[in-house]
Amino acid sequence: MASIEAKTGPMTHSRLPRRGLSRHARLALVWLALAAVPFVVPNAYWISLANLALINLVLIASLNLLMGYGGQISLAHAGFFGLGAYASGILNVRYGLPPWAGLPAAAVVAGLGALLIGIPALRLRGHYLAMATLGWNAILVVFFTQLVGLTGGPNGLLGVAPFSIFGHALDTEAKAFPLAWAVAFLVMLAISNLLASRIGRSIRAVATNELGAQSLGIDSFRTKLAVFVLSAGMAGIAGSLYVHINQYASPETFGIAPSIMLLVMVAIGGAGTFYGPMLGALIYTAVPQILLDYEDAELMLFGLGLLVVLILFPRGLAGIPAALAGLVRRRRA
Amino acid sequence: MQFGRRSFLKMVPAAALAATGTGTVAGLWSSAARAAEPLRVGSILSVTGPAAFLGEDMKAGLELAVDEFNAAGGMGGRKIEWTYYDAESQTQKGITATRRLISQDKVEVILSGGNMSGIALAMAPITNAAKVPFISSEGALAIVTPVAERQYVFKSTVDDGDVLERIADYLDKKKIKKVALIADTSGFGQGAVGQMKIVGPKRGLDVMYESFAPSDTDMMPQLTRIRDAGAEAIICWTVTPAGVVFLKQAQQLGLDKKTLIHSYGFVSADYMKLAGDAANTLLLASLKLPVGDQLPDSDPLKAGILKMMKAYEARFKRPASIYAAESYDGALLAREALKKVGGDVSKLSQGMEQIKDFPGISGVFTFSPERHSGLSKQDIVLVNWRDGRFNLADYA
Repeated sequence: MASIEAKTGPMTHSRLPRRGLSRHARLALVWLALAAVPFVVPNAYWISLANLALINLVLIASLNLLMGYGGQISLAHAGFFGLGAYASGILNVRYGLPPWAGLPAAAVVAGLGALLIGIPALRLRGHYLAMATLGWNAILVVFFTQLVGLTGGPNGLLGVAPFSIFGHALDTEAKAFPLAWAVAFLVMLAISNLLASRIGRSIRAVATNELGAQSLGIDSFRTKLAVFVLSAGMAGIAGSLYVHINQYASPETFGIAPSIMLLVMVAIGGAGTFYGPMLGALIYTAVPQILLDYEDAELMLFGLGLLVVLILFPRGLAGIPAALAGLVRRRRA
Repeated sequence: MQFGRRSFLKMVPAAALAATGTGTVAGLWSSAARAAEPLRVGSILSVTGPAAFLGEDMKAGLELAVDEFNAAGGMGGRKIEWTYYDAESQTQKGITATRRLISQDKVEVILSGGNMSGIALAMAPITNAAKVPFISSEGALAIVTPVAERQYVFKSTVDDGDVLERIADYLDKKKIKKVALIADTSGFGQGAVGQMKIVGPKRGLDVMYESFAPSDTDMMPQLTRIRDAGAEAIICWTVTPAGVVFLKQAQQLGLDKKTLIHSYGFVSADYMKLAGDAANTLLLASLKLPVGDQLPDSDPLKAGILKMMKAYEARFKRPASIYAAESYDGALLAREALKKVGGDVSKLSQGMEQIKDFPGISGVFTFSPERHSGLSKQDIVLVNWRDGRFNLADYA
C-alpha cells in the first residue's frame, strides 16, 4: 500500500497528517461532528440508521485493516461478527451476564475463532485464503443454525438485554447512539494508533512485499496472524453492539453474502485509506434504504452502482479526488 | 481548462444538497397526503430471497384486501394508505424497515412480518415497545408469547401444536401409535419438532425424529432408519422442494404403503405435480382453503373462501394459496377489531382481544387477553391430491 500512497502524488501528501492537524485531532473533530447526528435528523428511524452505520463502520474499518493495509482477503468477516454477537448474546440470555461483560468476551471469542482458522489458513495466499475463510464462515453459520439450545437456531436468539448504565437501560435508538458512537471512535483510534506503530509498519511491509519484509527480520506469518486476530476481535465488538442494540440475532445476518458485501464496501470506500471505511459504511447503510422505494429494481440498481464504482474508480470512492486529479494532469500533459 | 481539486470539492456539497433536497420534497409530499387522514397501514414482506415464494402470495393477499376494503369505505371509516417494504428474507433489513414504518411513515397498524418467523420474531418486541398493533401472518408461537410482553402483537396463522393435535386425532382414528417426524432444519421444521415433543407424549404416540437440510437431495439414510424402526405413519415438515425428494424416496422404499403426511407448509399444486404418482397416497394437514368448494355448506368458512378465491383468481390469474389467505386474514381481523372499538385505532388491541368465533378465510378466529393466536385444530382438515387438485379426505 505504501507504493500506492507514493504514486498518488502531491495531492495526497498535502492531506497527510504531517501538515495541519495531527491525526488524533482530525479523528476527534470528525467524531465531534458525528455527535450532532441525533440532533439534526428528523426521527428515531434515522438514529437507528446512524447506529447501524456506526456498527458497519467498525466492521468495515476492521476488515480494511486486514485487507487494505494487511493485504489479506477474508471472506469470514460476517462470521466473526456473528461469533461476537452470539457470544455476547448467549452469555446474557443463557448465563445472565450483563452486556458489559459480553462486549470484551465477544472480542475474545471472535479473536479465538480467527486464531483457530488463521493458523492453518494464513499459510495460504490469494484465492486459496479467500476459499478457506469462506469455508470457515459457512461452518460458523452451521453452528449458529444447529446449536438450537444455545443460539435459538434458525428462529434466532430472543430476549437479549440492552446495555444499561447505572440501571438505566439504553433501550431506544437515541439512548444507544452515544454508545455506538463512543465504541466506533475507540476502534478507529485503535486502528489509527496501530498503523502508526512499529507493528503497523510491519503489517504494511508484509502486505507490500512479504519476502522483502522477511529479509528485514519481520516474522511475516505472525504479523499476518496478529492482524487477522485483531481485525476479527473488532468484528466481535461490532457483534456485541449489534446484538444488544437490536436485542436479537439470527444466523442469516452472519452468512457468506454479508461477508462478500463487507469486502465490496471496503473496496468501494477505498481499501487502505483511513477514512474510506466511513464512506463504505455510509453507502452500505444508506443505499439499501434509498432503494427500498424502488421495490424490485433494488438489487439491480445496487449491483449496477457497485459495478460502476469498481470499474471507473478501482481505488474506491475515497480515491475519486485522486483519480480526477490524475485525469486532469494527464489532459494537461 | 481549470478543473482542479478545489472545484471538485465545491461540487461535493452541491451534490449532497441536491440529494437532501429530493428527500425534503418527498417528505413534504407525504405530510400533505396525511392531511386527508387516511389510515396508515404498513407491511414487511420478503418478495425477494429464499422466502419470496411466500412473499408474493402474501403481498397479493394484502393488495386484494386493501383494494376491497377501500372500495367499501376503508377500515374504521378511513381509507387505507398502504406502505410495504421488501425485507429480502433478511432479518436485519426487516428490523430496519420496521423502524422506518414506525418512526418515519408513522403507520398505525402493521400487517405481516416478512413472511419468515425469524423476521416476525425480531419485529415483535420493536412494534410492542412502540405500541403499534402488529398482526403477524408468520407461524412461530413465540411471536405472540408471553402475552404480557406482546400486548400489541397478534397472529393470523395456525399453531404447529394445534396442527399436530389434529394429526394425532386422525392417527387415533386409524389406531396408529408408532410415528416418525422428519423435519427440515429451518425454523419451520424445528418448531414442529419442539411442539411434537409436547404433543407426542400427551397423546400417547411413540415418536422417532429425523431431520434434513432444506437443500438436501437425498434422504435415503433417514428413511431407511424410519423403515427399520417400523413407523406406521411418517410426518414430513418442510416448505422446501426437499419434500418432493421425501415422497419419491419413500415410494422407492415401499413406505408409500404406510400413512404419509405432509404439513400445511407443503400444500402446493406445483410440488404435487413434481412428485407425480409418489403423491398418490399422501395426506396433507391443511387449512380449508384449497378444498373450499368441497366443504359442507354448514361450514362457516365456505362462503368467505369461495368469494375470496374468485376475486383473487380474477385479479392475479392464479388460484389463491393458503399464504395469501393468511395475510388477507390479517387485514380482515384488523378491520373487525376496529369495528369493535368504534374505529379508534389506539384501542385496536382491545378490539382484537374481543374477537370471538369470527369466520376469516384460514379459519374461525377467537382471541382473548390471554391468547393472541386465533385459530384452533378445528381449522385443520386432511386433504389428498387426486385428479390434479386437492380433495377433502378427513373433515373432522
